[in-house]
Amino acid sequence: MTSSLIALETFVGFRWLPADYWDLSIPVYLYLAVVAGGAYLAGASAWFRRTLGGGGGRLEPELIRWGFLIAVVSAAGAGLAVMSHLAVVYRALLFPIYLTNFSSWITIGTWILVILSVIATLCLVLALFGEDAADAGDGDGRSLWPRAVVAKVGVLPTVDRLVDRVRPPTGALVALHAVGVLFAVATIYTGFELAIVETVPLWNEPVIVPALFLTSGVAAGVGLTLAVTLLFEREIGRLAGGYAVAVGVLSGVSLLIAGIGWGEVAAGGMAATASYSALTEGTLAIGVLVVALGLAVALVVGVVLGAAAALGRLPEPVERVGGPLLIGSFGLLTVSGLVMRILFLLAAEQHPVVVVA
Amino acid sequence: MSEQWMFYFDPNRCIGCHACSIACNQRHDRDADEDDWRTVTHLERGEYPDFQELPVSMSCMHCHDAPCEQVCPPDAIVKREEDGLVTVNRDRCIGCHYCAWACPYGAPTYDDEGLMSKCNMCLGEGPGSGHGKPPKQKPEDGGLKPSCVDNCVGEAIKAGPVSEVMAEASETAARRFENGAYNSRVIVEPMDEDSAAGMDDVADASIDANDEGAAAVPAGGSDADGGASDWLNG
Amino acid sequence: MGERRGGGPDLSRRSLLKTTGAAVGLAGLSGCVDLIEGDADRDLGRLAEAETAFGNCWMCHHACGQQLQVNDGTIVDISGVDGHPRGSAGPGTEGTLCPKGLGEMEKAHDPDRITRPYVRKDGELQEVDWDEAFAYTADKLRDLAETHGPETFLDAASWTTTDLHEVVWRDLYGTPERIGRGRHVCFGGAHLSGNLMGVGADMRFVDYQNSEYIIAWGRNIFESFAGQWEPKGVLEALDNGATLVVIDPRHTPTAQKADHWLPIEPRTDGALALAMAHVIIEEGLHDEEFIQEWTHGFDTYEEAVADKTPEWAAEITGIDAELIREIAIGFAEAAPAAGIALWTGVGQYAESQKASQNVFALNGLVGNIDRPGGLRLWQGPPFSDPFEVRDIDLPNNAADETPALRKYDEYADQPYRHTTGIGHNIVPEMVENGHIRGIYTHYDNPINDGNSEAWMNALDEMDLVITVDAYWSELTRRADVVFPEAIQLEKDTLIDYAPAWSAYHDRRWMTASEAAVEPLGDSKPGFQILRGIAEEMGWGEYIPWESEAEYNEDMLANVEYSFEEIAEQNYVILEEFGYEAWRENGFGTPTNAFQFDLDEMDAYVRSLEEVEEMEGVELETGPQWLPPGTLGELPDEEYPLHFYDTRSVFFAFGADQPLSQQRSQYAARHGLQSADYEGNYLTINPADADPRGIETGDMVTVESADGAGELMAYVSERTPPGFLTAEFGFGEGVPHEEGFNTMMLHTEGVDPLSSQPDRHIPIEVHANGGDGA
Repeated sequence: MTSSLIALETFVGFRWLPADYWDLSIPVYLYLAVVAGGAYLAGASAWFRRTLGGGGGRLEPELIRWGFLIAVVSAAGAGLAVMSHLAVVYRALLFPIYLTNFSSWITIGTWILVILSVIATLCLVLALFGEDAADAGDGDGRSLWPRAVVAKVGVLPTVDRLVDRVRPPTGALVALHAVGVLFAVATIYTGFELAIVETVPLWNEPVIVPALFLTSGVAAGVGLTLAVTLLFEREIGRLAGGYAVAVGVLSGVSLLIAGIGWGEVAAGGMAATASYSALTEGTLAIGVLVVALGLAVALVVGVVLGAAAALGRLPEPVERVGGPLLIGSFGLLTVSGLVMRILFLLAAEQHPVVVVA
Repeated sequence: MSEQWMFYFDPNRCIGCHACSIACNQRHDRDADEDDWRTVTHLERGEYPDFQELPVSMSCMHCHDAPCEQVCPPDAIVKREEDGLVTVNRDRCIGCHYCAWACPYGAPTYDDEGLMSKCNMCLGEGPGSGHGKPPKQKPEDGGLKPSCVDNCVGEAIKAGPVSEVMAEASETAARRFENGAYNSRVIVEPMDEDSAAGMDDVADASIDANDEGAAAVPAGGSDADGGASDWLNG
Repeated sequence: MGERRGGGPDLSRRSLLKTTGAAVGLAGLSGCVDLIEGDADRDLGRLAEAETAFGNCWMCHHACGQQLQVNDGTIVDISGVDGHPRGSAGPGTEGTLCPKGLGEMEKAHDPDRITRPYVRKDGELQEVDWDEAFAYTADKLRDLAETHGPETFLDAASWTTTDLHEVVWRDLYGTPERIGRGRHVCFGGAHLSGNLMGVGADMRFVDYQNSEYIIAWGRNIFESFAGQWEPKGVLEALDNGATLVVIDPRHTPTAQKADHWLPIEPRTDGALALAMAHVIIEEGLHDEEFIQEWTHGFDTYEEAVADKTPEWAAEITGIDAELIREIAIGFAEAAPAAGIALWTGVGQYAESQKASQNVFALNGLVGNIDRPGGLRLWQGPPFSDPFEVRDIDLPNNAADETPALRKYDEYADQPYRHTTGIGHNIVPEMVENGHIRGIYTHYDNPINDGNSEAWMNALDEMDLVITVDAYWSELTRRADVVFPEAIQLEKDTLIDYAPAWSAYHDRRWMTASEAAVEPLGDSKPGFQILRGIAEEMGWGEYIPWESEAEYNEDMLANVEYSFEEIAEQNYVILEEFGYEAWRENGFGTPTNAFQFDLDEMDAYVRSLEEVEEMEGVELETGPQWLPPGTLGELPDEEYPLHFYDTRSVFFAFGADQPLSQQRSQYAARHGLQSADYEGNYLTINPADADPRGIETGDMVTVESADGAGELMAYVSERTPPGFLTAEFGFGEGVPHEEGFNTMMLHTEGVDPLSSQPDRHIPIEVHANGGDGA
């Protein structure tokens, strides 16, 4: 491919656009939004398991709280990241008034992110406070630390009472969490934000890019939730194993999609080829390795370790290193998800604006 | 009058002097260190003495399908019904730069405040001017001639309602435009066959990015004898 | 290839500089209050209220008409004047301005301009008022005259909008020393040949619109022109089906548009011209009637070209023999509607007098002189001498003075002294010898034109340096008196600098304008400056005109228009003048014919004999092939590369380099950013750049036997291997000093026949290491 690019350069004059309209805050934003979605899914799935499946394990409450907490923090981070790049922040804050173009993915995405943040916050508050939590019926895990903070302020009983007073009936809660799941999956919009940009062939893949962004981001969100939860858990139980398998599978799917996309880019036109060579030569190639490694390790560790744990067949020596191994590989997965989006930005080549044969 | 206005460019008459860029900057009081609304690019190819350098002057093309307008979240970019000009309401712009990615011509620029500004075909003077202005008038009706058009040494740049610009274009250029060359966003004259001394492989300019990139790759990718004359006809 | 950003994104990109995170986001939030006011959409609305005014562009002094919009004392828009003789393609066509001309708007309000007079007191330049500046100047002038004589003062004024300086310095002060541009620094070799042969300095321009065959010989008409009428005229000729041939070692925008680009070996123009003559005579395509009746020395010419076959020339010029034959025949067949435009390209090397003589001879051979479509002999308007109109009995105080060049034995080794009174390169020596002790400059900057180091020392040495300028530079900082001049847009100007060549090929014309805006700060028109000096010197009676406008009025005594009437419409077209003026006037040579052979030019013959003796070469009075190196320098092992300076469309003589728009576009033209570097670029072929590890954007050092300097490299195939160029007018000596004054590479090389500094210099170049930006 590189040689054909050189051939092109020899016989073609063209002008590239200065494709650096976005800074690093954008990949951070695009990433954290889906991580929030993934973390929310982790929390919500545990919630459903506990509420509907009658799961009374001690891991579920931890997963619920860590998941919603990470979702809230990630969504907030995404919001701050995107706003840091805007010229007129107040207009973004007044998005119901200003962002009127609903055919723009930024408008759609803003609503998705805001609604997800609100639902995740609600879910988090409901999971943290109230009688159940006070009774430590949900366990006494580290995920309860915000309670300690509120207790320091001295309003914990008030908050608990208040939360219980407004706590909706189970049916409504199910609906709330279900809607949340929809919006968590809707963070796939981050992929569409790029995928509709026709001038950048690296991005302009209406299936591959959104799918990749969703699977890799959700993998990272779930993986991060599990990793944080396991930080405070000695053993990897069946449930944790199940989640690990999910993360591994999602990572594997991401790897598969990225591989398909890689082929598309390599076989693309002039700008795609330029993106390809940017990704294969120089500094960015290291990033590509990091991404591939992150996804591959998460796949192997998640599926192998996770399946063993889920089936309860984790050999003891492995169990001792299993936690750190999972935490480490999912940490790497989290990093590689961000690197992947940075690569998407840095390797973005717009079609040359002028081509002379 | 609701006819779309558009630009026309004739690379054969462009001498690459950049007067258009400077005239534009001065008309709109744009500092030299800001990005230009109208740029001139010098495309080089070949090895001395089989060398060519083609100047191409470009700005916002006020596309009929305005990709920038479609992606602008706050609807700050307006594709005007009355004259087809694409203007910016900088009182709505949030500075997200999405339009820059969408634009195939690199037209949007951003000032120190981060707000977008670009060519308004001299509907007004200065960044953001032109938005909400009455329809563009022809010079004979008292409208302001776009500064780049007015100051083009070789009369290589023209602007006007589509039918008039088409009437002024060569038959080939007009036909190619009608057939969708450059996505029918701008009329560009084909390169003269006899220009560029001794160059048999006639240059052909395509001011276009939205053609599938693959179209820009010569068949087989091994056009090593320079016979790349007709692989991109816009 | 184009402006590929070097193998895709790298990590130094702007995008990576901006950090992300909450801190930035919060900072953004806190700043939002200021932004709530929505006034970003305001239209400047500067044009609606503006009034129209005119100018005649003086950025390169070729006077294209300028139409201005002036809003409350500020110029808010500038463009060309339709139908202007210099700024359009002729009647009914649109007038435009080039980047330089557009830039005069910025210059009018440029805060960097000098706006107060300065004089040197206690070794320092100090701001003074005009009265004091005039009194100081007069004192110094009187001192100089008394101590050393007025003949030690050099009038080096250029680009003035008034000819008053000649009256003040020559007639009143009484100095015979005068140095100008064309002969002395611009295109000396060709200037001399044109004058000796009988076509004057008109050989630069073709009667483009009527031409069927245009040869731009070492000329880049689309980037470097004497008014917009030139590129427009050539474009029109191309539209009319004319053939354009460009002879130039460099690929230029003109070459790009040409039917034939002849990438000639540098400095071999003379050989090509002789071979073309050989073909034309061989094919019997010469104009026998014209040769018979109107030329001198054809036999010599015929003999000189007898063995100069295209095959012979092909070896020397690198141009295919068949192509030479084709061009020669095409040119001769189109004649007389065929013309050669030749300017600095064949005027700035040591052998350029002979080379240009060979080229000009082609005009006589095909009989295209002052015939439609050929080499036009232009005629200007019938200006009156205001001194005669007012009946002022001007003294001629320089009448008995001989220029030092001819007066003193020290200059006996300067062969050109027979045909001119001074040489640019010799002035520093004259200063050393005490023969020149003072100078008056006007925008012209000698530091850019050769022997630059010596010139700077000479300026330091001189007792009195009076300069009229708009910017601080190595010249103005060295001056004893700095007069800030109003620019053309700030004064009432009747263009009397050669209002001849134009898009109106058979009409005389005039162009004028009244001040569009007030002079910036305390600056004054040059006329007032000279008048102020004269009054202080006690010559007030000779200059009774209160203003340049009044003086201009008297220049128009013979014309039916008043100054105001012309200024109101910017230009007027006067009576017709016919072709073939030589039928009535002859060629103004001793033989009254167009001279192939210069054997009748006694002064020239004396120069020739001295050069023969000095250089040990045999020289002919007729056309002759002088290989490069005969009189000039050749690249050698130490300095293997050939350097030559060029012009860009953005700058004129360094006078407008401070303007930001031009600098920015100049960088953009190279696909680079002026924010990183605003100097000139060394254009170098990859074949020379690669082995030296040089890439576009690298800072490099250029070195000749005589000097060295740094500038940024621009690697491109537009220049041949071994041949490097850089734009003239940067670095030391000009107002915006970034970049390199390439004439710092030069000391002694001249064309001994014309005195033209040889701007072709052997060099070596190496990368400085590190990033240029």
